Amino acid sequence: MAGSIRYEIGQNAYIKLILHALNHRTSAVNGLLLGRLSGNTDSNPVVEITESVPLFHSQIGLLPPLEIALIQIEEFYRAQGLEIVGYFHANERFDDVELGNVARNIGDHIHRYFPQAALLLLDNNKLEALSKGKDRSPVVQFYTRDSSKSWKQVGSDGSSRLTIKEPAANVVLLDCISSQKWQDIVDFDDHLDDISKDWLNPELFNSCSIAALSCPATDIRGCVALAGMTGSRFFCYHVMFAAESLNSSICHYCQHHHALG
Amino acid sequence: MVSKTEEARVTMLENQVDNGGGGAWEYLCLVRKLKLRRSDKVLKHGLSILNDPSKRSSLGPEEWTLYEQVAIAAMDCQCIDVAKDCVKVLQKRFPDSKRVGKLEALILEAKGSWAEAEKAYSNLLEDNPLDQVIHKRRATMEKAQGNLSGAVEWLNKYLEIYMADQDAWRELAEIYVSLQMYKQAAFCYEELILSQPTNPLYHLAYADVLYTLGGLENLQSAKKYYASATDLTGGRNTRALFGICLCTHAIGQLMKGRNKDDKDSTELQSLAAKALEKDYKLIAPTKLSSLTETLRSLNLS
Repeated sequence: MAGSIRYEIGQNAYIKLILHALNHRTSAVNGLLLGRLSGNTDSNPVVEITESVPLFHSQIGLLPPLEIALIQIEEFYRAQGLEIVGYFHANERFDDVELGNVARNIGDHIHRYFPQAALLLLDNNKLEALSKGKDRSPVVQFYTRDSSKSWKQVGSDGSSRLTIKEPAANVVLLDCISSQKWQDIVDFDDHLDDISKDWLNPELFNSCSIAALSCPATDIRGCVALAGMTGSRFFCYHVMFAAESLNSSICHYCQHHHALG
Repeated sequence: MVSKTEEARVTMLENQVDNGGGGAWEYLCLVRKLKLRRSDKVLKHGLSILNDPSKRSSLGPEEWTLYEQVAIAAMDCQCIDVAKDCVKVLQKRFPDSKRVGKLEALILEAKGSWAEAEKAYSNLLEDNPLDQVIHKRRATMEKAQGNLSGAVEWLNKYLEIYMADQDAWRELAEIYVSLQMYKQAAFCYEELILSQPTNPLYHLAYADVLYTLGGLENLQSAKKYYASATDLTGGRNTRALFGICLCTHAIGQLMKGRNKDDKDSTELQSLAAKALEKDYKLIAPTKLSSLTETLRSLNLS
């Protein structure tokens, strides 16, 4: 039953989509979600969204580029055992949180092939509030299709069933934003205009090497180290707090010295 | 709309200025001339010139144009205070100017004070009823508030008078596409093709809309326009080549069992496919296998 399925999106897939939206702030953008349905279908089924491909930033309502993209992307990822499991959309205007018809239509099409399809709509208010708060939840509204054949928003009131696999994803996202990583994003539109540009974005996360270290301060939490253009930044993520210390190897929260591994 | 060479020049200048290589004024002039929307860069580099008295005075009378450009960029980046400062300087220099009046109304728009902005524009229109920019601002205000049908109404009214305004036709077409009103979008592109028949981008957009509309006649027309776009771009436009393949496939699907032997179309499709393969082999070899699979699934009709 659709009611008991969990959805989990990988950090890279999540960040790619948000960066894509930031790269084209003055227009609507969309993207595809790729992954698989795993876990026992009788108990604890999980839709794992492991990859994403940013699609277009202009004339989203037109079919030909979308059809070419769907065919190519599906073919490519089928070899990796992944299928199209959902769709991401960001509206043109800041305060527009309505799931428009184009998004619904594309969602319907994906649903035909993958009934547990997920529809994500960028929530700009949440994105803006990210730097001020410690929110771990994805900055999107999450829709699935229920038995009434319409797209319903899944509860954002604690019963949300969309989680990001890596709990520190939003902190990594903020880091990517501050280093203006969105400039490096290539979408399918860019590829069609210049086929030398790769919509796979293979080098996007190269300069951030993310290694999970274990924080000896507590045995439940994990620490993430980021090395890249912004220099070494260490922070220790704890379930209740996220503490950042720039260019230092001592976590301000747990005062523990972390080595870059 | 900019050509590839112009786009490349802008990007090169942008990188140069970003990395401290100078050329900021040239960059700003180019952005202004091509009417590009690079507000964060314009704001950053424009302010660096304006805040430096020696650079500012070396501009001479162009200084005021720069103030205007930076004011608009500031509004786009929601730095209303910066915009207000620029406009204040312009007001001092050009009191009672209509052009500055437009900027003031624009600030009201940027702040979201729609009613006041509407009043300001009406006042400006009383003195100058033929001002195209102000008419268009009304349409954009509707769009900014999310009232797309209102924007469509205003744009249609505007185009009845100023039917040669291609930017307005393009904007209207794009709004229609976002509303999924494809027939109306097609009409707009027809107007654009009539006024600029050698612009391949209009042929391409028209073909995309026709394909989206669907139906045998539209698909056949779409194929013709993809072909003309290919012709106008010397066979180098990837979208047009893909479009030909998609159309042929879709037409084939529709005509299955009708026993019409359309040798021309398969020839056109195989030509397009060959051209695509050649391009991908040369420029994007990692994607060649994806392309071959795509073409194969389109050829199975």
